[in-house]
Parts: sequence; C-alpha cells; structure tokens
Amino acid sequence: MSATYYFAIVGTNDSPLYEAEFGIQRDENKYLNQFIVHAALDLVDDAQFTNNACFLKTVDRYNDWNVSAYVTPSNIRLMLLFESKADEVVRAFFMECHELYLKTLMNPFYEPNTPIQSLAFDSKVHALAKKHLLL
Amino acid sequence: MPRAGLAQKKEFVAKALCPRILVVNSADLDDTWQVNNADSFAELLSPFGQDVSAQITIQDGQGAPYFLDKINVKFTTDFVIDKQRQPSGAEVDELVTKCIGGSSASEHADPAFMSGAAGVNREAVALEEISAWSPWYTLFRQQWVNQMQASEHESFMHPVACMLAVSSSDADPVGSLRGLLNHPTVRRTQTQSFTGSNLVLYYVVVHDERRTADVQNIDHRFDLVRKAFGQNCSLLRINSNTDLLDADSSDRAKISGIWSSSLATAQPLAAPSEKVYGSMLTMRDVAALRDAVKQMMVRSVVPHMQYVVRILSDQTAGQRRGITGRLFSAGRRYFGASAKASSTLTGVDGDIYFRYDSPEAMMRQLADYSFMLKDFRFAQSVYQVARRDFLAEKAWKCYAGAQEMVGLSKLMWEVQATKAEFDSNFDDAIATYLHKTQVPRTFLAVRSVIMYYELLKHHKMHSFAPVALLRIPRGFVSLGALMNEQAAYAYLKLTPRSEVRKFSFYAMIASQMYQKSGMGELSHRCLRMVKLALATPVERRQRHADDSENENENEKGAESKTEVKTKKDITENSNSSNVGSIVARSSWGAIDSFINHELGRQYSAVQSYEEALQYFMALVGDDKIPPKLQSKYLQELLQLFLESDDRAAKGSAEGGARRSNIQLSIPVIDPHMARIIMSPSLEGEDGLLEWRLDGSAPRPAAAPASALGSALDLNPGRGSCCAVGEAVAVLLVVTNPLTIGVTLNNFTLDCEFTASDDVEEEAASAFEVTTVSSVILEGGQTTMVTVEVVVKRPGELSITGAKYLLCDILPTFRPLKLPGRRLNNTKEQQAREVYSPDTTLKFRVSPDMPHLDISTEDFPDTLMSGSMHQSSVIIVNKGALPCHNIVLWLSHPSFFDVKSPRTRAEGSECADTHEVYTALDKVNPAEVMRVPNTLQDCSRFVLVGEGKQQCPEWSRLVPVECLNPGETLVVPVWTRGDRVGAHSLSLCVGASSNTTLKSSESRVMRSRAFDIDLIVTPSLRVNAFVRPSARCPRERLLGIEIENMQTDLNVQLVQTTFSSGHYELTPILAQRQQVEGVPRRVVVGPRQTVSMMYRARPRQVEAGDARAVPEQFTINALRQFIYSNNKPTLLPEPIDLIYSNMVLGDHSGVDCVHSSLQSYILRSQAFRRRNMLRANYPMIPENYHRVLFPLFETFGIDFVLFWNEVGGIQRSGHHSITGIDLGVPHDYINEALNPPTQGAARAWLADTVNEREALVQSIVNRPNALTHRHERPLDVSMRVGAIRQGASSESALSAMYVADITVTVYNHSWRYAYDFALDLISPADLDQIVPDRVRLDYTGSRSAWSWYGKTNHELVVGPQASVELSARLVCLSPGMFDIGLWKLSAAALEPDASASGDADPRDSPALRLPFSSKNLECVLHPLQSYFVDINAAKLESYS
Repeated sequence: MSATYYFAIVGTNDSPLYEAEFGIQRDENKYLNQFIVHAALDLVDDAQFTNNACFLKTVDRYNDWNVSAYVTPSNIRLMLLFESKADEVVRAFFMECHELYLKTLMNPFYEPNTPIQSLAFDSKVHALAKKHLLL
Repeated sequence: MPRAGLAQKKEFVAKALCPRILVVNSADLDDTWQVNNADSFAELLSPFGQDVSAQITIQDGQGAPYFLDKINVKFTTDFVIDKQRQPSGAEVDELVTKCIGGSSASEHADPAFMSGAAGVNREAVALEEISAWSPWYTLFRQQWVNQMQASEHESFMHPVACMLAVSSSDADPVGSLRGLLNHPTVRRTQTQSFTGSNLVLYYVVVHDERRTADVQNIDHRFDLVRKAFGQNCSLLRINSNTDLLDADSSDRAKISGIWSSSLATAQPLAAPSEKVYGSMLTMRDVAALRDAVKQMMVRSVVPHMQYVVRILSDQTAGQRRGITGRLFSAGRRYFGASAKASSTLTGVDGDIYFRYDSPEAMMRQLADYSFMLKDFRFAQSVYQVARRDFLAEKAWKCYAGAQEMVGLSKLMWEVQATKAEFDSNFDDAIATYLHKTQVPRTFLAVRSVIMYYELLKHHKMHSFAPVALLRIPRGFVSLGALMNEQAAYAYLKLTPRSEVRKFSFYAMIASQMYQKSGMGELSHRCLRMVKLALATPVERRQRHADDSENENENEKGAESKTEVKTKKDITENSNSSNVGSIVARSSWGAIDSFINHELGRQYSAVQSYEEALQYFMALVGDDKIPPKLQSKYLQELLQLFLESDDRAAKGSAEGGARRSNIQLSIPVIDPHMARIIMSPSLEGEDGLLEWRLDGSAPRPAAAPASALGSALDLNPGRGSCCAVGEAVAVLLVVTNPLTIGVTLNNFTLDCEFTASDDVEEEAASAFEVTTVSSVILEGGQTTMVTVEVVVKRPGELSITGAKYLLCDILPTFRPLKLPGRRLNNTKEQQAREVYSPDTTLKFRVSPDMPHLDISTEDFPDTLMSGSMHQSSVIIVNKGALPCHNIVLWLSHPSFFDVKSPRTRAEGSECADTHEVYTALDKVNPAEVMRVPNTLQDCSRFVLVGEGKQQCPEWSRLVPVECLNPGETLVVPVWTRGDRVGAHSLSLCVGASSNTTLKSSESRVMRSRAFDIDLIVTPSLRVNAFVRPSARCPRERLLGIEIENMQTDLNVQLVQTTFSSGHYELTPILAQRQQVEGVPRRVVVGPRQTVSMMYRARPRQVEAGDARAVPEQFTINALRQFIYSNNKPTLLPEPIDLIYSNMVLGDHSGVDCVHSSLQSYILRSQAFRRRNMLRANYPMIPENYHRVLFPLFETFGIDFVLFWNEVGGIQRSGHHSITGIDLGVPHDYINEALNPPTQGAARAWLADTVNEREALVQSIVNRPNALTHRHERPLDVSMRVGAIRQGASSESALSAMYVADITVTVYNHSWRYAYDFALDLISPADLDQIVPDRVRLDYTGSRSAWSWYGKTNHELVVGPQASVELSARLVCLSPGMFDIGLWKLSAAALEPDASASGDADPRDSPALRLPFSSKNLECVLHPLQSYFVDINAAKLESYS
C-alpha cells in the first residue's frame, strides 16, 4: 500500500507556514501536492462556515487523493493530503499538530504567520505522523 | 462574425434535439436546387428550419394547453441506423486541433481578466461569458453535436415527417409522389424508425418559375395532388429570378447570406464556400420558402406530433399511473417471460433495445416528442417511468439515454432545481454510457456532458460544472484539456465569489494536457493564467448576516491586512527588476518552481530566450527545489543559454553585451561578509587606526578627522585607504545554497574607479583586478574567494559587484550593494528609513599613504617565565615616499624589550645582534643613579622620526631619522615571559609619511596590528619576606626564597640586584662564603628551594641633600587633586636609586645599571605600577596618574634575579619583584585625604561634594589598603652593657647579677617624630600586662630575671633618628635569657609640633583628622625573642 501524505500548515494570508511529507516521498509530484492542497483552500473557506467543528473532515477529492482540513480559531489551516485514512485518525493527528502549533505560537521569538523553521517542531510533527498515520 | 450565430446554452440543446424531417424529391426537381448551388433540396430548405415561429397553442401530454412560440426543425436527406461511430483518440485530437485552429488568432489572445498585473481581474470575470475566453470550445461543442447519429434508443435523429417533393412540370405529380413513397429511404424510414408506418408524409409541388411553359398547368396539377393526398400538400414557387438580373447586388448578397450564415452556424469548421447561393431566387422566393416550411410545421408536423403524443400517452398511461401499471409490469416480469423476450431486440452495437411498438419504446418516443414540443415537464415524468423499465430490462444504453433526458428535461424546464434532482441523473447516465453498455458510448457520454454543461451555464450553476466536465471519458488528452480548461473557468465564474485557487489548479491540469497533446500555445496561455491566479489576493468570504458584529470587525481587519500585504507585494514587484514581475512568486515553493520551469521551457520552445532565461534563473535560484531537479534545472539553464547565445551570435553583436549582465541568485555572495584586506600577503591586520599620545591602544579611526586636521587628509569615516600600487585583497564569502556542486570560473570583480589626480587617462587602465580561474563549490559549501586589486593611480575605488562564469558557461554578475548605516539624525530620517551610502566595499588610494611591508620574525609561542627570546619586527618601505614616522605600540611592555632599530640596505644581512644582558667583569656592589621618577607611557616606541620629544628620556632607544624607499628597518624585540600563563599580546606598528603631526593629541596612521599568543611556563618562583633586625633597629632583614618549579632543569643564579631609593642591601653570607669572601654561584636543582638573606640598611643622607621625598609629593598632589580647583600639574622629581648588586660566584656579572636593560626594567616597573594604580584608584582618571604618583617610592625595593640555565640551550633570564615593602613608611595615602587647613576649594554644588566624597571613599577602600599591616614605624633593640655581681649598695641584690642594658628606639618614619612610652616588662608580670596573642612563645623561666630600676620611659624620637636609654636587669644566676619583653606605646607628633616641642602631641590636630594612618598611634610588642648571655666570664669588677 502506498502511503503518501502531504501535510501543510497554511497561514491566514494563504502562504504555507510549514510543509512536510510523510511516507513514500515523491519529489516529482511535489508541486501536485501543493497544487491540490492549495486548490482545496477554496473549499475550506466554504466549509468552515457550514461546520462548527475545527475538523472539517475531507473537504476535497482529486482522483484518488483526499484532502482533510482543520481550521484553528485563528484561521490557520492544517491541511493533509492522503489517499485513504479514517477520519478519526486524521482528526487525532490534526489535534496534536494543533497543539504543537500552539506551543510554537507561544514562543516569543516566533512571529505569528511566518514560516516555522523550528527543527524541533519538524521532528515532533514527523513523530506524530509516525504515530498516527504511518502505522 | 459567424460565432455570434452559434446557439447559446439552452437554445443549443433545443436545436440539437429538434425534430428531423426527411426530404425526398423527384429526379426532375434536382435542377431546381442545383441552379441555386445547394447540395440538396434539404439544404435549400435548411435555413428556414431555424426558429420557425409556430405561434400556436397546443396541448401537453395531460391535455393542458400551452403556447408554443418557436420551433426548430432540421431537414435530412437520409435515414439509416448504423453502427455508432466511436471516436478514436486521434479523431478527437484532430477535431480539437481543428476547433482550436478554426478560431481566429485574435481569439487566442489573453482573456480580459488577465489584463491586470496583480492577479485576476474580478470585474472582468463577472462581466464576461466563459465562451469568450475559449471560443474553440464553442466550436468543438457544435462540431461534436453535429456528429449525432440516429440510434435505436432515442427518437431524436429519427424523422418525424417526410417531405416528398415533385416538380410542377411533372405531367403526373400524383404518380410521381406515389412513386417517391417507394423511394428506398422512405421505405427504410418506415421500417426502421420509431415513427414507423405512422410517418407523416407531406407533399410539395415545386414550381420552377423558369419553366414558363407549365405555368397554366400548375394549379391543375396541384389540385390533383391535393385531391389525392389531402391537406398535407403545398405548392412552392421559386426561381422567379428568370432573367438572371443582378440589378440589385445587395439583394443578391442578402439572399446568398441566408444560406452561408446558416451553414456557418451548423458547420462552423467548414471552409466558407465561394458558392453564391440562391442565384435564381428573389426575396419573394425566399419568403415563399420560409412560408412553406412554416406551413408544413404548423399545419402538419406539429399537429401530428401532438397527435402522436396524445395517442402514446393514452397507450402508456397504465404504465405511468398508479399501482396497476407497476403491478402489470411486475407481473409481466415475473410471470410472462415470453412477452418480455418478444419486445427486446439486440441492436447493431449489441445493446438491448426495444421494438418500436413495445410499450417501453413508445414511452421513449412519447417523451422525446414531448421534449421536442418543449413540454419538458411531461417529458421528464415520462422519461422517469421509462428509465425504470429500461433498468429492469438491463437495457443500459436506453437506461442511460433516459437518465440523461430526465436531467435535461429538468434543466430545460425553467424551474430552478437543486443538485440532487439532476446531477445524479447525469452522473448515472454518463457512468452507464461508459461502463455498462457493450461498448463504451464515448460519443454519447461526451454529448451528455456538453449538454449538461451548457444548461448549467444557462442556469449559472457553475458549481456543478467542474465535476460534470470531468466526467468525460479518460484517455482523450486533448478533450481532457478542453474540459479541464472549462472546469477552471467554471470555478472562476462561481458565485458569490470565484474560487481562484481551484481555477489555478484546473488551469494547470489543462495546461499539462494541452502540452501533452502538442498545443503549446494554449498550454502556455493556461500556465500564465495559473501564474496570474496565484498572484491574486484571496477574496474573503463575507460573513452571514446573523453573525455577530464583533466577528464582522475581525473579518474586516483580516481583509485590510490582506490588502496591505498585496500592496506590499506589488511594490516589491515593481522595485525588483523585471525578473520579479514575470516570474511566479508565491509562497508555495514547489508550485512556483513548477510554473517557472514549464513557462521557461515553453518560452525556450518558441525561442524567446529572454523570458525563458529569466524563468530558469528564478528556478535555479530557488533553494527549496529538491536536489534531483536542481541539477536538471541547472543543466537546462546552461543548455538554454548556449542555444540562445548561438542564436544571438548569429543575429547581432548586441546580444553579447546584454548577456553579460545576467543576475543569478546562486551562489549566494553575502555583501555583509565582504572584506577589503590591505597587504594580504602579510600577517596581522591592516587599517587606519587613531593613535593617542596617552599610550592607550590604537583604536579604529571612527570620528572624522579633528579640527587640528591631519595633513594626510585621511578621512576615517570613508573606509579604508591604501597606497598607490599596493595590492589589496577583496575577500568574498561565497555560499552554494544548492545541494549539487557548481563551479565558478573566471571569478573577478567589477569596480568603479574615480581618479583624484588630473591625469587624463582612461579610468579602466588605472587598476588591475586578478581573476580566480576556478572556484569549485560543493553542495551547501561555503568558501572564501580572494581577489586582488592593484590601483596604480590615486583616487577612489568602489567594488560594485562580482562577475563570473557559472559552470564555465553562464556569465553572471552579482551586484554587491548594501545600504549603509541607518541614519537617525533628522526628523525626516527618523520617520523614514534612510540609509547612508555604504562604504565597506570602497577604498581610497592616497598618494601620501605609506606602503610598508611589516612582518614579525621569530616570535615565540612558548617561553619559560623570566627567560628572554630574541625576535624582531622587520619593516620594509615599499612605497615611493620616504617614511618619517613609524611608531610601535605594545599591549604589554613588560613582555617586550625593544632595542634601537637599525636600517639595512636591501639584501645585506644585519650583522650586529643585540644581547639583552651586557656582561660586566666588575660589578659595583652599590651604585647610585639618578633616574626620572615620572610614570611615563611605556607602551609606545618611536622607531622612525624625531623621537626625542616623544620617548621617555630613560628609554635608551635611538630612533632612525627616516626610512627611505627600499630600505629595511630591523627592530630587535626581545620577548620575555613576564608572567606565567597564556597571554594574548598585541603589537601594533603605525606609520605615516610625514612628521608634521607633533602637536596633535591624536593622529590617524596606517597601522598594522599583530596578535601574538604566548604561553609562559613556570621556571622559578621568587618570594621575598621581611624581618626586623634585632641587632640594629635601623636595619631590616630581607629574605629571598627561590624555588625551581621545573622538573628537569638546573638553574644557576648569576646575580641579584636591588634598587631602592633608601636602602642599600648587603648579603648576609653563610659562614663558609664569608671565609672565601665571594659568594659562590648557587645552582638550584629541580624542585629545590634556595633562600638568601640580605640586610637592608638605610642610606646615610648627607646633610643638605634635602630632596623632597616622593611620598610627600604624592600627599601634596593628591590633596590638591581632591580639594583644589587647580589640578596638580607638577611632575615628580628624579630620584636617586641605589643599585645593590651581588654577583654570585667569581664570574662576570650583568650590567643592569647603565645598559639598555635598565630601561627595560624601568619600563616593566612603570607598566606594573600603572596597572596597580589603575586597579587601586579606579576613580582617578588615568591621565592624572603621572602628576599624582611617582614611579618609585622611597622605601620600596625592587629586586631582580638573573639566572642561567645549566646545560641544555643555556637560556638566561631574570625574575624581578617590584615594590618590596619593608613595612617602614606609614600608610601615607590616607593622610592626603584630609582637607588642607587652607586653600581647599569650596564646593558650591551638592554634586561636587558627593563626587569628592565618593572619590575619597574609593581611595580609602582601595583593595590593597589592608596589606600594610606589618608597618612598624618604630623598632626597638637592646644591647647588653656591663654585667656586675652583687651591687654593693643594695644588699638585696648582692647575690645577683646586674646587667646594664642599652635600649635603642629607632624611628623609621621620614615624616613624624614620635612621642613614645616604653614599658619594660618583667617575665613575672607578663600575664598581666601583655595580651595573650603577643609572644605566646615565651618559654623562659618566669622567675629567672627581672627588670630593675626604672622600667617606664617616656621620650620623643625624631624622624629617622634613634633614642638610646639605659635599663638594668637582675638575675639570680648566669644564663641565657630572652629579654625581648617590652611594650611600646607611640604617638606621632605633627611635624611642626615636634619642631617646637612644646605642644601636647595628643592635642595635635593631625591626630583627630578623619583619615589618618593607623601608625600615628600604635602599641608595639616585640616580634622575636632576644636572648642575652649573662655569664660569669663577662663580669666586670664592680667598682
């Protein structure tokens, strides 16, 4: 089973704050990942007004790809591109990522809405992915 | 414009699915349409089938009347049910290509919404129709529908009526018409079509006006026809333009236009024919044709269709209504298998269909007819029922067709529908077409998509469109491209706000598909749309009305933020060069690089290299692209450049010049890290430093030249400066951000030179820049590239950028520009960001600048402490000017002994070497020498120049007058390990070409600083300790303890030298040495300790030699400094130092009095004293040290020990201890803190008072104030005089021994007379009088002796004078007694008071001052035992 995941945190001005790929890496399709997630933002914008929860489940589909989104109260969007995974698993992953993001936000040296460079954050997100997604 | 004629949206569907009429004419009629250039009689009629205004009221399926406004009809000449053509991929591609080629070039231009620079223009999006953005789609849609074929499952392509036409010239029109009924086409239609034998026949008699012969028979013949066939007949008179007059050419064109425009609408891709249609027709004929069609429709076809609908509706009503129909069908399904089998057939394609007389087929026909008659509501309900039946029979093609029609009917029916009502129909229909039928019905599926999409557009339900469009079958790349593009536009047209991001995604997919199917132009167009869309700011969705006010505000805030950002982006774009504006820049790195790559490739494919290069350069500069692609991109870029270069070379020479200015962001050259380094081949650091006369370290010249001005006109604020013809290195830090390696070839610098002289010469030839042939950068590597610049003329050179060939191919230019310091002086500058021009990459070339090669030679990195090592500083004048001023500065003068410099001509070796220790055969044991006692700056040495004024006079350094060009100056510098530990010493040489700078307080000189790291290992440890002398109170004993710290080194002591202003020291020799008279050289082995004792005796001061003592100077100066407004200016006077030398052994000694060694030792002492003063008196500014403190205090002793290494490399060295304090003088500094009785400046301000108090306190609390605790101003010694036995007069003592003791009290103080009380204590009273802590070691017998007579003496002793008094002691028996038992209470007298002698010392004002030496009143006890030997042998006869 090919398990490829693309995870992105998108800031309020639509620029990615953080990107990561889990599972099998496919360099040549990286732009497609970004394109799909970027396009799905349009649907997130709609979906967040019809749903009270942070977790918006699968907002978009393209061929075999699903895009799930999680909108934080500050309108930061966590987006995950995946092929197949249960909603609950994705939700758990998002929740923990959100927590990580909040911790980053509390760092006085982190300017909100700027790319997250922290290596610690990166490794923690990868650990979360390993825990939830890449079983 | 023919496109305008193409049907729009709903009309399009209606026209595609309109009734067809079969036209059959008799052979003699052929001429009639042929003369009008029509291909058939049907073609002659076809323009009039469009929008026939029926204007009749008809009844729908349930009998309700409704008004039919217009109806379309199409005329065909043939009817056949063939195997359905399945378009192959190539055919579709060809069709798409044709459609795209069919649209004119102007339509390929960018749509209006792309006009803006800052993203998609939303207003244009709202205004325009999708069809305007891609006209080729409209063509494609029409072409596709034109290919519709008759099929068994639907009745749309089946004729609803048949028109039979005969000529009026026919003698027997009825017979001809009957004959036409047997025409094969008509027969086929009657057997195979849905209509079957119920086909409506319509009879037309056409009269050709040219046949004038028949004119009288027309009516007759028509009457015959009407009699034979009833109402469905008509007479048509055409071709009335018998004389072929083209009198009215506009009429001709108009008539011809009717056909050509109709043809263009129906077959938009066909080449516009040159044929002139209807040449025989007049406007009257045209009207007759139109009327004929209308008559046929209104009178015959529509009523017939309505009739069919009614019949069929009745027949199938059972199925449609109620439970019975369902039961009936269920019953038939379950119980009547045979009945079912009879009604289904297998069609030409293998799919199941129904016989035309079966209920299912009838339902379908009913629905289709209703649909054609625009009774969509009824049609839909019928289709729904039919669909169920088809599903039950697994007639998939029929089912899919019905599903499709259900959806279409719903959408055609004007009522707004929700998605659930129609989208699933289409979804199901298309899926069934593609997957369930025997052969995938690609054509039908695509047709379904097209029609659905048209209707969605009509209803403005764009949100369904993308999904619908993407249901097209896979495998047709060009079709997919077309549909994806439409899908993208649909996202753009979404209401209430367009989804630009989705648009960009689908446009990207479309672009890729266009690329794949070889339509580069459209692909490019799509890609540019993607780029534009990415630059579009996102339109935030407005909150719903029920949301709270607060949230609305938040939203606004977010919006304005986005706006600000957009603005910023725009300005950024406009600021950067045009690269920024054409290259995609969003924050999505992979997307950007993809777009840039694709656009770059496309541009290079069409050979517009300029744009392609820019895209590729942006691509390569991006460090986020994955490593695999990096090398690919880079290679593509290089390849591209080579190609474009070839072309440019062929084209014109202009290309070459332009290409040299390529700016690429890799590798990264950080201008912040760029450095200009003077004299790069030498060690040390070159720069313009500011030298001050106070001996502080030269510091970088920061402030602009002072008003005093330097003749050099060195403007330190303007960066560095170098001499003419001097090589200057420019150091650049180059980083490769990629993970792949690149090489930079021919790396050089781009410089701008401004000459300051008036020589008319080309500026370019004024300087030379070296070229680094190859710099290899591995992935992620950072290297330093050094480029040398030699400027041959005075002026100013600024480095503007770096030039190199990337990978030996791509000429690249990197500007090295930086903003300078942020200016903050004026209000305007504070309000905006203003930067001064940068000067770090700029240097001046001054003709006055000295150009010296300065190098250090042989500086050690490890030294044993105390040992000396010869090194030298070599200065070569390489410039063209003689150098008149060279100064050396040392951070640690005690580590370096600088000897007089020597010049030497080039090439010759300097012969004379300087020995640091001058051997002397005869060393005077004591020598007096007058030395200056001022604390001079000892860290600066004038090497070249008129040094007399600037050097301390005791520095035995003779400067050289002038260093001429080409001359070499050798400065011997001895390095000494002065202190143990790791030291970082620095040495700085400053030079200027002229000597006119004496007066200035500071000057800027070109300087070279060296850092010397030195580790000093311990060799000897020397300690000194002091004892009072019990024998002579004037003397003190000084012990020197020498410990060899080395583990394997024998050290031979050579000589000891003491220097003091007051004491002369003589060694106390061991018994054996005393016999030999000469002390032997002492060898101290490893880890051994040797101690030597010296007697320090005050020098006899001759009368009249009343030199002021330095201590007094300090007291006065300090008091003046603290309390007077006039700061002291006087320097201390020279002091006579007594040098007490002792050579150990009979060898020659070391001359440290007259040699240059003395000056070195003085320097070291001055340096240490300066450091000590700095630490002790932090509140006193350093520039006052010279006028406050002398270099030597009178009573301090400096000790120098010279030694040799035994064996080994025979190193020699010396150790020294400065300021050995014999503990004699008072703590005199405190006295200076008392305000003088007169002359104290009054402080008016509280600040001044506080400041003064703080200063006084800091002096009182100085760190080593407590170290003077051993001071004893007075010493007491005793001497035994006569010893007698049995004093005759006093019988009590007759048996005892009585000894006369002379007690001498010596006053060490140079300042105070002391009033003292001496109590001689008998051992018996010891416990009562003496505190416990004093002399606990008294071990003598308590009762053995006792003082006798007066034991209490009160006397006054003058400064540096002694008083003798006599006492007696008695003892019972002879023996050795420790008689050192006394107590001395002393109080100082004011100097004046002691002179007059009458004042009570205890009332002296000095003693009540707040600050006083603790020795002014003191109680002294003996420090050591004093044994006297009282024995019988020494008895004197008692006289």
